[in-house]
Parts: sequence; structure tokens; C-alpha cells
Amino acid sequence: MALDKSLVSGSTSMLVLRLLSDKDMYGYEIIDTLDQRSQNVFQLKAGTLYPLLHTLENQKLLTSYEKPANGRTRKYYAITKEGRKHLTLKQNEWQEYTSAVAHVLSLEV
Amino acid sequence: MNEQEYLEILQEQIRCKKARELVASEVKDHIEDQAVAFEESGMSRTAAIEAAVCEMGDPVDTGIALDRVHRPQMEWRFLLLAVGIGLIGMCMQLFWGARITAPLYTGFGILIMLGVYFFDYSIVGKHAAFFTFGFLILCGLALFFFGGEIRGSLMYFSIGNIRISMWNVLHLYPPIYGAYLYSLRHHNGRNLWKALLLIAIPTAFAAWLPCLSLAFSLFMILMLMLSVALLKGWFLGNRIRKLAILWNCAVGLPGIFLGGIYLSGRLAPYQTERIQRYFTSGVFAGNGTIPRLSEVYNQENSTQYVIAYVTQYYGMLAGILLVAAMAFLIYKIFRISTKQKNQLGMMMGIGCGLSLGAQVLGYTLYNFGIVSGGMISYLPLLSYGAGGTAMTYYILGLVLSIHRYQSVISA
Repeated sequence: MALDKSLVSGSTSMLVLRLLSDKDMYGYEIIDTLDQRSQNVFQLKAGTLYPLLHTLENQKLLTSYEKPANGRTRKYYAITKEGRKHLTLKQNEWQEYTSAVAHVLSLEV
Repeated sequence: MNEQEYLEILQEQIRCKKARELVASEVKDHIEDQAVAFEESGMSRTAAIEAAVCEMGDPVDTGIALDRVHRPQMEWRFLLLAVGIGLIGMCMQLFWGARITAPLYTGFGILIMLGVYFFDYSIVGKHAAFFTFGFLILCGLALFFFGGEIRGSLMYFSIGNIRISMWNVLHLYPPIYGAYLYSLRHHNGRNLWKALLLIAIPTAFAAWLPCLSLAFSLFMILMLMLSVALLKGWFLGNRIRKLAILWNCAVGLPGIFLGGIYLSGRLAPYQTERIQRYFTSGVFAGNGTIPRLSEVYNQENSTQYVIAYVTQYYGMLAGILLVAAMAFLIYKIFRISTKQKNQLGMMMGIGCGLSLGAQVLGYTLYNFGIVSGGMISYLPLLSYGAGGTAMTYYILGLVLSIHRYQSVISA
């Protein structure tokens, strides 16, 4: 199901940080993993991902390094300590948000 | 649209030229990864690339978003702090009776700082050997062919009517040495001898002037930088072992240099007497008292004794605030440098911090009578002097340049 973009845009950084909290990944791997884990709901475009990754890196929530792979050098991203703290904060905010929405919609939580 | 066209349009949206290469390389890799995935699903190579480019979305939108992220940055607070202290120094000099050249030097210095800010310092990293050896060759030529002995010292050399101090010139060396260390990283660990040689040469120049305080200061600055490089693993082999050998030799090397200079008879009588006193009196330094200064503006209180003068005539608090302001500036330089992801910027920034920091520390200790001065006659930003002002603002400009390009030069 195609979702309203505004529902997705606010949580994209949280989703990316969550993926990177499991392991370091390169750009294409992030898009592919997100697509699979969300069962094709979150189909992030590269044009959205790379500005986001670079912004998070500037904010010191991520760091990057290069590693040789299949005869070329790939740029990997890793979450930092500040990134993990930020992720925890965002997850808590998300829990609060979804709980509030569920109550309003009178869904069982 | 093919891959090349996509990348060209994308890059055109990014104003910072340095960032374009980094971004294009990463995006190109992504297109390749996506194309491989399409090929595995059965597409031909050509079709896979075309589909991968299509998947990338609008290159203009992506480029604009990346341009916002990769704008060169100005560290405004550091700039204001440096200019603020410089203006305070200039006002102090004018208030005490300095010539109108004080504001001219400060103005010129600020222009140098802004000029260096726009300079892409990574060029020094790319051609580190050229800059390093070139600098040392020029220093050697200045010292041995353009210098003239004044009261037993080769501290100054002339180019036409302009007299230049080797003190200021040699304090420009640490950031260049930082770039050279960066160029040696991850090569064979035997390159360590090159790093040591490029410590020995400028130290020998300083000792030959003869200015032992400069030689010692420069030696310690460069050794600290080499230690940082070793701890970062830039030279292959056991880091701790190499560090231990290095510092064990470092204690011996100044002794060898000093012994050689002492035995060569190059030292002036007052320097020989001072060394003898250091080793026989049990006292580390001078008589421990702050000199009583004339209230009338003169060379002493405008260059060598700014802190002592401020303390004597404006109170201890004023002197402490002055030292604290300088210490904070040096702290900010190290903060900017050590926060760098790119290692070249980090090492050159550390060189800048150590170069200015050593001068501030030495000057402060000298002014409070804790050490004997030798040639410690310049406090960055506050002492009067064209050469010192130019050197200081050059280094500050380099720090700003390192901050400016922090997000666009790769690690």
C-alpha cells in the first residue's frame, strides 16, 4: 500500500538509525534492507537517502568509512554513541505517538 | 537519461566543488549496486544501468538537497574570538602609544586570515613532500645565505628592505609537518625515519640561530605530533613500543644537539653561562621575579612583556583574564582540529594549535618569571610586530579553512 509521504518523512531518520544500530551498512544495502523489513512499504529513494545520511553524519549521529568490496571501495555508515542516544529518544517519542493515536482511534493497545 | 548525464546534473546543483567528487563517487557506486541487482533478476547490462538511473529519482532535487548539506562552513564564534582578541591587542598597543602601524598590521593580518580561509588546505596534503622539503630548503637558504649576524644571532634575514624573523617562519612549519605525517600514513613502518629527519632539520635550524628555546619548543611540538600519528596507527608496527623508543630517544636527542652546539662554540657567552647555571644551581630557570617595567611605551612592554605590563599596571585579574582568553583560543583550535573526521585536517589543525599554544605557554611562563626567555618576545595577537601578526593570522586562517572543508574532504 502506498503511504502518504508525510507519514514517512518524519520517521525516516529513525528507521535508518535503527537499521544501522544492528550493523554497519552501505547506501544500497540500507534501501534494500528497509524495503525487505517493511515488506515493501518503505521504498526509500536514493535521492532521499543520501542527503539524509550526509545530514546525520554532519550531526555526528553517524560516521562513515571506506572498505574494499568486489574490486571497488564502498562507503559504509556506522551509528555513533550520540546516534544511539538519539535513536532511543526518537523511539520513545514514536511509542508515545503511536499509543496516543491508537487511543484516539480506540484501538486496543 | 544515462548515468553520466545524471551525475553531471546532480553535481551542477552542488556549489561546493570539493563536495561534488565525494558525492558523485558514492552515487555512482549506488547506481552500480542497483544495476547489479537488476542484472541478477535477468536484465541486460545496458537495461540494468538505465533502470538503476531511473530509480535514482530527479537529479536536480537530489543535488539541491545535497548542496544544503555540503555548504562550506564558517566557525563564526572562533572567528569572532580571534578577531576580538586581535582588536583588544591593537587597542592596547594604540592606548599605550604605539605607532599607527599597529592597526595596519592587524588589518593586514585579518586579510591574510580570510585569504587563507578560502584556500583549499588539502592541496598541501596532496603535495606534502613538495611543501615540506620546499619549506625547509627555503629556510636553509634564508638562514645561510640571506641572514646576517646581529649580536651573535642569525634570527633575522632580509628580502630587499623587509626583515623577516626566523621565529615566525619556523612557527609556520608544524601544520606543514602535519600534512607530511599524513602522507606517510599506512606506508611501510620504516618511513618513521623520514618523520624523524623532518623533526631534526628544523630543530637544527633553530639551534643554529642559536635560539635554544625555539629549538626546544619546535622539537617538542613536532614530537607530540609524531606521537599522535603513532597512536593513530599511521605507522605500521607496535604503537606503544614505537612511542616508548621515540621518547627515550627524544630525551637523548636534545642532549646530543645541545652538546654539539655547546661544543662547537656556536653559543653566545650569556647562553653558555645560562646552561651552566641550569645544571649547577639546581634552579630550573631565572630568578623567578617579574621584571619591573617602565610605564612609558617601549619595545619591552609592547612585545616581550605584554602580560607582565598588564598585570603590573592593570592588576592581577586583568593579567589572568588576558591569559585565560588566549588559553581559550588555543583550546578552541584543538577542539576544531580533534573534531575533524578527515585526518589531514586533524593533524594540520593540531600543528596549528601546538604552534600557537607553545608560544602562548612559553610567553606566559616567561612573563611570570618562571622560565628564562631566550628569544620569547611575541605573544600571538597581542604583541606588536608585523611578522608575528602575519604568522598568527595565517595559522588562524588555516584553522578556519580546516573547519570550512570538514564535511567535504574525505577521511
